[in-house]
Amino acid sequence: MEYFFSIAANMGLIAFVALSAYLLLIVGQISFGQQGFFAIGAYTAAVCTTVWQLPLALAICLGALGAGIAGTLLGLPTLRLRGLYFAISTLAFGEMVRTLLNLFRYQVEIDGELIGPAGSEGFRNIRYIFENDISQLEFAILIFCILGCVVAFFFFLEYTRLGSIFRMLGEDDLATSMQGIDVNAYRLLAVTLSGLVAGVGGAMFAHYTTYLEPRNFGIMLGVHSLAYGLIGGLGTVFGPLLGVGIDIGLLESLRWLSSYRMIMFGGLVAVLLIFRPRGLLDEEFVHRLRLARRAGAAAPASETGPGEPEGSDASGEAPLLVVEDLSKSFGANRVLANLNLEVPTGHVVGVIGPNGSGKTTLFNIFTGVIPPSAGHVWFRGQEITGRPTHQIIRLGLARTFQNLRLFKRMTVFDNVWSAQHRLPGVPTWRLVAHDRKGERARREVVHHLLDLTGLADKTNVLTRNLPLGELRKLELARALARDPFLLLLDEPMGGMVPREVDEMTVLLEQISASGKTVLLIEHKMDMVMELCQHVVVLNFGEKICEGPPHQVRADPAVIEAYMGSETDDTTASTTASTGP
Amino acid sequence: MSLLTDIVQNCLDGIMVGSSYALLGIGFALIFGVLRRLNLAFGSTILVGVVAGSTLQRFMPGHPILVFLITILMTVVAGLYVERLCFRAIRQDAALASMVSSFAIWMQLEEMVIQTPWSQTYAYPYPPPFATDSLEIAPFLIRTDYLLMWLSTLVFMVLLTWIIYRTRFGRVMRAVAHNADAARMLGLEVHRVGTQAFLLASVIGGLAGYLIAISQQQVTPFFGLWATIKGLIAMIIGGMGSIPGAIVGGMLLGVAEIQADWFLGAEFRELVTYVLLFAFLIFKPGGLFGSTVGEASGSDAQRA
Repeated sequence: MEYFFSIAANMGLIAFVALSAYLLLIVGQISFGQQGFFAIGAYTAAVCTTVWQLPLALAICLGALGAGIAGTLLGLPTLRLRGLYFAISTLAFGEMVRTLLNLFRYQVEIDGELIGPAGSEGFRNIRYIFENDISQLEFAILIFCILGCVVAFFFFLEYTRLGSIFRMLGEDDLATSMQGIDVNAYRLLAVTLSGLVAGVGGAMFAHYTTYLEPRNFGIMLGVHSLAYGLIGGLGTVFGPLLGVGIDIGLLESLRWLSSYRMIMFGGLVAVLLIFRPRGLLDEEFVHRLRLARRAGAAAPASETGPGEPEGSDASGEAPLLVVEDLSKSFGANRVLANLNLEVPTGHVVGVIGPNGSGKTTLFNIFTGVIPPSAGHVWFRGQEITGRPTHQIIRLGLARTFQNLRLFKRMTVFDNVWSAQHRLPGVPTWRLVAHDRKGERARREVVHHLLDLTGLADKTNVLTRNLPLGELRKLELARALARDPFLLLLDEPMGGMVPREVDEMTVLLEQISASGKTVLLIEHKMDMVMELCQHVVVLNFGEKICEGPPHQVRADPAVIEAYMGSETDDTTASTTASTGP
Repeated sequence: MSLLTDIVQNCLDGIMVGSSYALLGIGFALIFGVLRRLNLAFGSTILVGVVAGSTLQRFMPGHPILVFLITILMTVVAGLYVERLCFRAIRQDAALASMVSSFAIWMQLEEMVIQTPWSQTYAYPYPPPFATDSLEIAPFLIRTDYLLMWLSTLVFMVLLTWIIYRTRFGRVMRAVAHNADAARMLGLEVHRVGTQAFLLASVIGGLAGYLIAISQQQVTPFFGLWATIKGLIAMIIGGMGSIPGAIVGGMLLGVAEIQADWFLGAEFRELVTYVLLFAFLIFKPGGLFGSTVGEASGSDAQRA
């Protein structure tokens, strides 16, 4: 009995670290250093109760706080690191904490006894629970109560906009920032939160085991907690808990197995990574579970929305977007040269040109993805050159991508919903709220847009299961959900079959008829001629022609650029590279 | 004056110690260069080889060449196991899955070694091939076994440069490292090149393990962690996937360690290692010789 009981407590403690690693896995970062936060929480809380004689609750809070601050401090310099660079930097962080604890001596004489951490000899006599007559059982119950709160928090998070933002970060940074979200800020928040959670666990650990040694916090702990999420699954908070259960509950507790635990555990992780790279309870599994549950309940009637998303038809005489002398070079390669451009409100402007003429680069500069080498861009009267993407987007710009950047592990609905997390009208606190009225209105907008794009019957389908034509429509719906003043469409018909092209044309006609201002990149000339009131032709980064469609179509320079012989191409390229 | 002597002596020692890190770093760099994925199980594959060698030495003393061969052979066997399970079975672009998987296999191999009855710490696992006196040059001392290690590193560097820049195998390997997709389209068997890179890296790893075991005179199960960390840091300092980088990185790491050990105390030696690693990741993620910044400036690379 005693044995199972200690295993249960052990599982509870490890679950904290597993959950903290899980949170980082959700935002797409692999951490080998969660044991560092665990250690900081443990040592801080233990020093609080033994040396400073503070009450336990305060000690746990301070331990969590300390680890949270450590999370922020680790997050700040490593914000720009991704993938294995981040992983290795957390590995270094975890080992740095451990080696520092080996040097950490802070002993105070209390009642004729030296109390406090003594470097590599460890931190003994954390006797808070004995002094206050708390039995091990009571303390274990406390552990599980706090763990329950953390799990409930994570579970609730799944249903909030903040949780959705974390999952978006785990899939695609660029697409996330295109929804007006400050990628770095939210990733920093995730690292801080994960430090906090591990810190709480550490504080409990210190008081449960009553002594700490730096080698308790070796890299093995971090790796295990990481693996729990990967085994159990990244689709739900119960994934890492399942992982803990499998490893400690099953492998370690069965004594005849325990000496081979690591051999089996390692093999299990390796095999699972091949067959179920996102764990047992992955997104797909959770999605199916939700569908099944929803089928049981009455399907909510999705009525058609109240009408067009409001706003954005603000008529003004001043052009919406003004581009002045814009140039961009990648090294010696000049992609845009002294471009001037105006997009009047309410117009559909087409940008055409042969491959490599700088069209997508133009969009990337507008949205702040890359800085221009020279020149200025004004949007709604404000200069946006050099501003971060999420700020520009929040001014009322939305874009689609030539090579589709959707959140593939989310449903169609969630993809459109994701665009509204940081709308100017939505206050920040709503990110963590399970909101009634305002939220329902927003959901109506999503349903309305899905109706508009003909995706209404695919609302609860996982995005990765859609064909290309519907993916393009979905990305359009997501851009529209931001209710932008200006819509940037990068080849919305690329790779489509004729039937899909026709559907998309109708859709775009509807959008332009509703008064949206659109800047459109497209290769299908007849569609451009049909849709646009104004066409700009780029060739080798220079504007060679501009005007109404019929005029552009007749322009000899345009015909030459598209049909031109090779000699024309070379002269054009030399002029482009020497520049004006 | 004696301070200067200390510093110079430390540098000499550091370079000698660092040559073993450099060998480990080369192994990492070879695999990363070709596969663009990190093999964290590298140290534990060497551990398998070294423990096999030292076990053989214990039960059948007096066959130094056989010990040498078995060390390398078992490293290669373990290396190929890792390659099959963590690299070939996982999609080429899932770099993180491979890394985590190799970490899991590291744990597995280490546990296997611990569970074998012959895994207790071996003192004097390999008798050195000759008397290991110290060479005395004016005020400086150089250990001959370190010198041997250093010379082997040099020889291997020359040999590797020759393989990579002068043979067909090397040319294919460079092609794959440069652009695996293009290489595949040109009809190169990318998988086979990956396996060959693994083989080569394992041979180098086995050799490094043998030389390190001679100079350290003991083998413990911690060797896997030690080798992985040192090799990894050497490669990251030098630049991901760069072989000359790994060599310079290893030497630099060695010098930094010995200086810290001498001036700050032995307990700082490890700390300095990790601080150095962390600092390089943040301030110079591409390393000294890194041609590309890689994923380091993540979002930018993604955007481009």
